[in-house]
Amino acid sequence: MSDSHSSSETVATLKLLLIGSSGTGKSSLLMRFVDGVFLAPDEISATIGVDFKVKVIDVEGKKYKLTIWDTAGQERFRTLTSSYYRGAQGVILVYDVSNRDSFNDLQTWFNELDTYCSSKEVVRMIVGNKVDKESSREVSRQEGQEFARKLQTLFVECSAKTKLGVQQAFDELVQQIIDTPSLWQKQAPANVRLQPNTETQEYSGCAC
Amino acid sequence: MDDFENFEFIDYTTSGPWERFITQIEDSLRSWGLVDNSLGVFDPTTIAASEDGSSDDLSTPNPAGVSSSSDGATAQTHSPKSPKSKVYQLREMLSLDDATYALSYQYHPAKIRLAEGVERIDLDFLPISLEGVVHHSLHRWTAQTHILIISPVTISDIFATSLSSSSSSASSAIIDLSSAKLLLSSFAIAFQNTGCNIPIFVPTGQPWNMTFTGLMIQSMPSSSPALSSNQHDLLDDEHGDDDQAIEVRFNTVHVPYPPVQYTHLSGIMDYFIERMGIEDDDPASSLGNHSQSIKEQIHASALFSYDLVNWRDEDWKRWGNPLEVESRRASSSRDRDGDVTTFQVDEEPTMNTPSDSVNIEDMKTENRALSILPIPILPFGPVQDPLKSLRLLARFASAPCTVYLDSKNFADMDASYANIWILHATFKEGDYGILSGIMEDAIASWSSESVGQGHADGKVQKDQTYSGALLNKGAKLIQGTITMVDTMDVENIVDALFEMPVIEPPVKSAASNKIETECGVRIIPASELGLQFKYATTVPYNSFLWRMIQYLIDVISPNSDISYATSVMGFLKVLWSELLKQFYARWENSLLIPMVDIYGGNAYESEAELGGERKPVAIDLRYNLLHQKLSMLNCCIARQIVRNKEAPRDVHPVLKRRKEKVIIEDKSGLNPSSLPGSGTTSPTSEQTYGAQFQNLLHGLSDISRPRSADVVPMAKRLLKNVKNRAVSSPQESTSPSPSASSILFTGSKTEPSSPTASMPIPQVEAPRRRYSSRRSSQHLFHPTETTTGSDDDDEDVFYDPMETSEVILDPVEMQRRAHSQSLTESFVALKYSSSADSQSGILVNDLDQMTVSASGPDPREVADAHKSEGGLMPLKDLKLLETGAPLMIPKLQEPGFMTEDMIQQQEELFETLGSSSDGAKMRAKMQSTQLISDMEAFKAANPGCVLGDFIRWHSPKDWVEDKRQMSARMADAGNYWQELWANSKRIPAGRQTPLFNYNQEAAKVLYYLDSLSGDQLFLNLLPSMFLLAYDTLASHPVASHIRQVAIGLKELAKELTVFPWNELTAGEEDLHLDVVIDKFRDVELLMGRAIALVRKFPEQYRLVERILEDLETVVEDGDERECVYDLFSIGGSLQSSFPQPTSREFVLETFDPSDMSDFTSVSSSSSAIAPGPIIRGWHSRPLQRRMYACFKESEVRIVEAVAKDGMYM
Repeated sequence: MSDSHSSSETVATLKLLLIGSSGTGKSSLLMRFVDGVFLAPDEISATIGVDFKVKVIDVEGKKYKLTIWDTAGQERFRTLTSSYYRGAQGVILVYDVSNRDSFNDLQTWFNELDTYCSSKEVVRMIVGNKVDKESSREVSRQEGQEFARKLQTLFVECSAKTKLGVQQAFDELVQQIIDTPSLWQKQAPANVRLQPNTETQEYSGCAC
Repeated sequence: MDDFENFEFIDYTTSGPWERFITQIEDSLRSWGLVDNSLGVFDPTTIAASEDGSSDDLSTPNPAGVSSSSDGATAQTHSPKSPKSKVYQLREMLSLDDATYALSYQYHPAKIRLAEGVERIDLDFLPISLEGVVHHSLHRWTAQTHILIISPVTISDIFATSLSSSSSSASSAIIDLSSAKLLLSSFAIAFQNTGCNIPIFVPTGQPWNMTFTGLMIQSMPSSSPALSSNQHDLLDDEHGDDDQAIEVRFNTVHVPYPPVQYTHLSGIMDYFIERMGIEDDDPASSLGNHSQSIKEQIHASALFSYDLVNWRDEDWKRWGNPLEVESRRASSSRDRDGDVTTFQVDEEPTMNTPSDSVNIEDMKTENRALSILPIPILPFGPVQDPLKSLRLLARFASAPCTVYLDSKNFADMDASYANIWILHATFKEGDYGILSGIMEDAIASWSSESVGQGHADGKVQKDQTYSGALLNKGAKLIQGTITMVDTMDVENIVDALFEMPVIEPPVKSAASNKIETECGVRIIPASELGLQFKYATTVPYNSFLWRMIQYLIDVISPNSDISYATSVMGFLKVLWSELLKQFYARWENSLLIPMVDIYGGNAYESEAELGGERKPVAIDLRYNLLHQKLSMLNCCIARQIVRNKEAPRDVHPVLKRRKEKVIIEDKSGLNPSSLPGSGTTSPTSEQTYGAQFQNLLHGLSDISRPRSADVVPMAKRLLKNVKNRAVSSPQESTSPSPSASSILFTGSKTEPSSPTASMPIPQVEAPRRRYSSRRSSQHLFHPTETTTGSDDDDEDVFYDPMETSEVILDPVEMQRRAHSQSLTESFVALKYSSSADSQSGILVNDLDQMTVSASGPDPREVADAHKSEGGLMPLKDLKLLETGAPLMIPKLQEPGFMTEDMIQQQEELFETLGSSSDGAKMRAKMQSTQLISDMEAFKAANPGCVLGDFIRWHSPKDWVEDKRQMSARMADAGNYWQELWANSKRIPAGRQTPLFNYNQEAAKVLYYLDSLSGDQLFLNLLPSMFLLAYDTLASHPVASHIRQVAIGLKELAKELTVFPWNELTAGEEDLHLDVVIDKFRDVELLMGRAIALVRKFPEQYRLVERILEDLETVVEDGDERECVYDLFSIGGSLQSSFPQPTSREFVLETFDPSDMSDFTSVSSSSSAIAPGPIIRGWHSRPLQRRMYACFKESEVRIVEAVAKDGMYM
């Protein structure tokens, strides 16, 4: 699940997840954040199943490795993508401010999240993407905020195109995760086994 | 220089031993800070401050305050919040001549606690035991919180010295009267010198008599009246302005067999008056009068104790209405062994239903008792009644003596007239918890095995101690050596598990399990708690495995019906091998495993009802892997059932054969270029790798390499190959493939690390073998016979999963088996239908199909270009873009299921591909299977369709209706979707290669279950065992009534949820499970106490709570008092009347009349009801007299304190 080669320098590996209806710009958002570029929608093909990108970020002098999983928004991919909710520490629910349907779908995604996420504490963030398309905006900022308040999530509007708010969104999400140590600190990598130091330890009365 | 002038010699050489003794005393006193009326180190103000940081206002509890506090109005049930060990006693050694004395300064924390409002403290009768420490009896006798005791010490005492309180009484040396006087005189001098006002007591007479004489000198400097009033609350509140000392002398009278006249209040009253030294001039005439008036001045308070001990209550655990329970008992078959009865889980009629699940279990137990094994109810709590004794204290408040009448002829001081009742309970200490003991046994049986042979010796001894707990049944348990298992027991359990009527849908616990307690503390039901465990480590409530664990734990429960006492591990192994056979049989016969829910309960009802038939939803990843695997098996079985119903035989035989070949070739490591039709075009070899990934991706790895751990490194290597290929020439591209295949097999060579290599338990062999064959024939299913090319090894593999130490691990064998599987029938005799045969072609799936398309027409394809096949219904009123025909939604393939480990494998695989665009492309390819399937089905259903049509249905957001074209990203020529679309053929879902090869998945699951070592199995079940044990506790009705129990369960739940269950690995010794088990024991024993108390005081839950909190509580008037009265009436004596008190204690207090005439005049005015300094004569201040008397069956103890004014001495 987590890699061993970079663990020497990174404090933890955090798993983030991008979900939302198709065409809301999840992949663009991810590409903007990780690679710092924006590709026009026609240059990124619709995601099939899941994909992921890795980015190492610096928070308070400590390095965190983010594996950010990008998912396909199409209905038919749900069963495939929902498997990857497991073990995520942060989830970004993306909608398109210029597409009301994508906003209306949020509740469905949210339910999905509740069903498949392994931890109740997982940090959730609602992101309204494509604010650069102000002219064709269909969902007001206020609506987004209210919805986020109702579901008790973080909220931010951003634009993968102009990169407005993208960095902040991820930073805030990561900060929240870091502030919830129970989310990630106990998440011992599967390959780490406790060293058997049985010789020295008093084996007192439990299982003997 | 000047110093010389002031220089002065003081000659101490002449000082005698006595003077030195006094100096020692003074030193000790000073070292404790007992100077100038200070309380020194035991000053309540400083102690209190250090305790909780707030120096409380220690206002004087004046006599009025005392009486009000003893009214019990301030009864509190706060927990004593400072359990830290505190010092109540300090000691110094003194010597006089040859004798050695121990001087101790003892402190009773009553007043601090009172001042803090911690609890009710009776200042007239200081509790002997407070803050968990037994204090010196003198505190109670004299009502002094600070005392000094000097006692002689002999050499033996020094060695045997203990700092325990009341040690002075234990000293063997006896102080004669003259020495006592000498000692007291020494202290008198020392007190004068230091200003110490703490009483000193010297033991006189035989130590066991506990008789003391004492002295206290109260010098009262007027400079600090507030402070002094603090300290001298009881004896003297008012004092003159002079600082003349008051001297108080203490005397003890102890009479073993007292004369009758001194065994009652009236008797000691006379004695008290006599001691006051009131001379009566005319005894004959005026004694009565005087006595009467004097008596009104004397205030008495009393404390009667009633003890209830050593009663025997067999049914102390029984909860609720006895009659009802009786009837239940008759019908229940489980209560045969009388000594240890189970906790009955039925509830009283008056109570709220504690939990529906309990009821259901009861029902089942009742109804099915005859046919199958009832669901076991685990016992918990201590073995015997934890309640040792009950003591009732009846407190009579301070009142003029005339109020109380207690003489040898007549007594009206009955407990029922007492103002306050205090109930005190004593419990047995260090009790054994049955349930926690069971858990310990279970873990012991596991850890002793996991440690292996090397440490066996060390372990055995430990095991013995634990197994000792199990000897209730008289059976001897020898762990790790022999496991005796009665096949009938196993059979019964297996029958019970499989023949249990399936509760469908499983009990929805949302409403019923919300146990709202009376006390507002919510008890988390086990079904919910299981999901809160930190990792997915539990099994669902009331599921198959849950039941299995229930039976399993019951095996070592003291009231189990199992024939031979055995260990959990031993039994588990046998049971599991039986269950495995059942699993195989179920799969063979297309029967779902009961109680393994794959339909997602009610939550998905609407979704599940889609096709009129319930479809399995995704495997619930919130539960542990073992349950997931069973779910997977059930999913496969469900698919099989559906498939059998449809039973289509529309598979082209040609295809079938070819597919087979593909697999064989692929497996045998042949050059992939020899794949049919691959020679012509396209990067075949890469596609073959893709296919291998595909294979990994869906976890469809062949049965010959079922270990997931092998997959990742292999995938890495394969990826490397793929990368190399990308840069290398086409010629080379064919060559690395054999090596890749060989890697594939080296991968499987890591098998020996497989945990299947478990320890053999040969002794079990014989009975098990015999039993299993019998069993299989019962089910007309004998796998060994149907296994092709099987040998003895195979049989072992199948029968004894726990013993497959070396046989199964040979990679060559694995390979061979794999071949035999794909060539003929499966090695586990799985019933492969002819259609299923073709399904094993999943290995090469779509990418291969693309290749095929290039070579020629696919026989599965819809031949007629204009025929629509596999269409379900039109999508709205959409028309195809080019033909104008209605757009049909095709019948689609159901997606597959994945268990946690499969997902993880896949995820790891994805990650190894890296985040490069190549990696991304590869991932997209790997995941496109379903998309291709959809496309092909769509094409089949919609002749003449284009990608745009597909997009309108599949990804409507990528369709721009205005422009009637696809979104830019879809329209892009290089788009992967375009590529896939171009390559997909018109194949309806029914003829497609299944996305989910249930045959192979089932085989994998069965293999997994088969290869689990006993160790792993146990680890998989352990968290659920704890959950089950928790459930046993939490579903008992007492939990919902008693706050402490609810809180305890809550803490236990917390403990369970934070425990790092995933870190338990095989062979690891230091589990630190003891924390959890200790908590379990605490809660279990607490519940035992609560249940025992509720049994004694039915429905008096608040009373029980208070007793549990402080062991002592004030009994409130009304129901509580009645209840207590009833209990003591029944328990006390045969004639069901209230028992005689075991001890009666009185305190008489008054102030010395200084002048008779003055005294009588005051008293005649009868205004002196309250004890107080109203009597004023030529004495400048009133002097208190106090007498404590304690009557027990055969002794009387009187401790009197008489104050004298030092002014006149």
